[in-house]
Amino acid sequence: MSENGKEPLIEVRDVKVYFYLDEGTVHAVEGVSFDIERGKTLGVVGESGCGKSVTSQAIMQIVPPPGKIVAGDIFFYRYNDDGSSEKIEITKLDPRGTDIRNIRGNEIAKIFQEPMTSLSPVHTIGNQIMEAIILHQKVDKGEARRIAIEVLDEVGMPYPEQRIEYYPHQLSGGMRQRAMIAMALSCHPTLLIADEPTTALDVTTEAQIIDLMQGLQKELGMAIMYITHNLGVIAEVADDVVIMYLGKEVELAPVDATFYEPYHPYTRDLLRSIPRVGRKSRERLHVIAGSVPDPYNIPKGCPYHPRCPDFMPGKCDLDQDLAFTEIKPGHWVRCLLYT
Amino acid sequence: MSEQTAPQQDNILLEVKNLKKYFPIRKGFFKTLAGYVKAVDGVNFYIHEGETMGLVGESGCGKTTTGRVIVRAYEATGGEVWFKDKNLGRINIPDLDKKQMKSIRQDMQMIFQDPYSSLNPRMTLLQIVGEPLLVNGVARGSDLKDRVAELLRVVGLRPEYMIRYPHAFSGGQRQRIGVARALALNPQLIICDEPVSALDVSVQAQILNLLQDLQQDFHLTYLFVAHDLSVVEHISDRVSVMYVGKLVEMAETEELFNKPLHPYTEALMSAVPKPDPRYQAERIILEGDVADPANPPPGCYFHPRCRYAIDRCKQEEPLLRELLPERFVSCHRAEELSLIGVTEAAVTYQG
Repeated sequence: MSENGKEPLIEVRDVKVYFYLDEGTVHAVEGVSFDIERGKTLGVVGESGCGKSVTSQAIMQIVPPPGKIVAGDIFFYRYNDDGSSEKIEITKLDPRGTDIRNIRGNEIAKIFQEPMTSLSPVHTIGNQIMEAIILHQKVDKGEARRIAIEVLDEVGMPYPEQRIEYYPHQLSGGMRQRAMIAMALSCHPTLLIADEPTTALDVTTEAQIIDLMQGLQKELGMAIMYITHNLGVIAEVADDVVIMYLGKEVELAPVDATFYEPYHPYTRDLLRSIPRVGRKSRERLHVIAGSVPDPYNIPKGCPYHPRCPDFMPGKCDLDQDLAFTEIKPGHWVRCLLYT
Repeated sequence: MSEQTAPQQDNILLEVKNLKKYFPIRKGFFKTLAGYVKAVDGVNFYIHEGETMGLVGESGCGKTTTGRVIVRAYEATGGEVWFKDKNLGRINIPDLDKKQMKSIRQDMQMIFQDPYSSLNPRMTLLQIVGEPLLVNGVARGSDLKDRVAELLRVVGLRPEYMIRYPHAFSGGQRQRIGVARALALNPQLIICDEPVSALDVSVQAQILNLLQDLQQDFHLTYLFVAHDLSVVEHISDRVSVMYVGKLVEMAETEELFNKPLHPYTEALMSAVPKPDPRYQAERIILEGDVADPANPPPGCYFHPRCRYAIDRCKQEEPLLRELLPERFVSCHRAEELSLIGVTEAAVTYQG
């Protein structure tokens, strides 16, 4: 998927992440593959428990125990100033080693859903931003402070010289999220992983933050992996979209095709079940039958078959691995309807 | 203030007049009064029988407090809440004594946002759904079991589940339990406080459809409090928009979305992410944050963020007025502005 003049930044190949619990093994991520190109945005969509967050944790090697990356490869490309590039195999790095630590928070940064719980309540936002700068860039405290103020200014924090002394509880939700973005951007990452960054925010604040992230992406040329369950946000930010269901990637396509030419029945069902602004609709919403199965008993074969309108008995429920096939250039589907 | 909102119609179930709820701010050792958070500050609206009124606004705008003051979970600081009760007739809720209130509470119920924290984990479904029946002496013993079984069936759960505890259920099923509890006493009005915002997309559709079906079957009236505009548009007949404790606009849903009259409504709609990659429209990005309800700006509360603000907006507070029949807005410039809504054309794919 990565040739023809594209500049890959991340290549994820058939990654599996399992959690070994007393109650059984949870196959949180079951063979996910995708690329993220330099400067592009990959949207990752799915309902809770589909493995979208765990996939992003695997990229940073921060899967929490008892979770483990049990198979697959993740490659990270480091582009040097002279135009050369090196290919680093993240899955081979020691999760506690210096190599991954130089990447984590530096070249790959992450912002989280709830800034109140992911920022330390007992440190000022300035100290938290400066910590990352001092750790990754060899500068003294005064210089780190100057950079921190600069980056706060860049994310649209008013009065950054004063706000740098604020604790998170003194800021509004939108301002806290800006502080977190500032922290993530302080070391100029080439990949920003945004895990539901606007879910906890109001729509007007969400619009501000999305606008900010898109502006910064253009300016800094970083790639974004945008994880969300909100299809409206995906339509706005993503270049390519991965749809996940129960740990499996069911569809991967350019954003326009995801909405206008969806192949997988789950993608279609999702699109039809959301109420949409602008379409007058006292009519009933399309409903996906049943609910997401519990993670210890994932259905055999295609995990979506018990809820699928196009279920083919004797085919979809056979215990087999379904192939992820490229139907059109760049458009991949995991479904027996198309094989 | 002499704002007049409700037209003289007898199919109005609930009429809220100049409703106020101030929370005192106390500071220091002696807890001296330092001011008030004006969570709800002079709100006027009305709901017809059998309709769904959406109440939208950003967090902290007072929409949840409004709902709670109506059922008297909070005591109102001022104002009137007229309710057309099936037994007592038209009554003002803040005036009622304890005994009358108990009877009124049977006719007004709530559904809460978080189905994980609004159900007691140590009670079975029979106890949870049966409690309102027991407390009000409506049913007991085997009658109670029959009634609970019927309620569970109505919300799409199997009656055998009544011996189980909430932990055995998924988020969507728990929300159904909350709906069954609210239905137990045959209420006239249900206040739904963000009933689907904690649910997954596919489950959200199930609950919204359930609420619509129940409304038809039991002739329910909903006050639907939510921040998600696409959900509100889907379920509401009319919508009220709140900003910092005040109602800024109220209209029939389609009119409000197609042609908003208040700049704040316009900005809200523009901010909603549209699930269509081909949708191209200028996005209005509001600058700054929501005004502090303890220390609101003078004049129109929205003027510091409003791109149409003129000098008058900074000094004079606009009142809610009926600009067109059943179209209420509080903006000095409502007549002259031509604002942009979202139209059918916004989403073109068929899904």
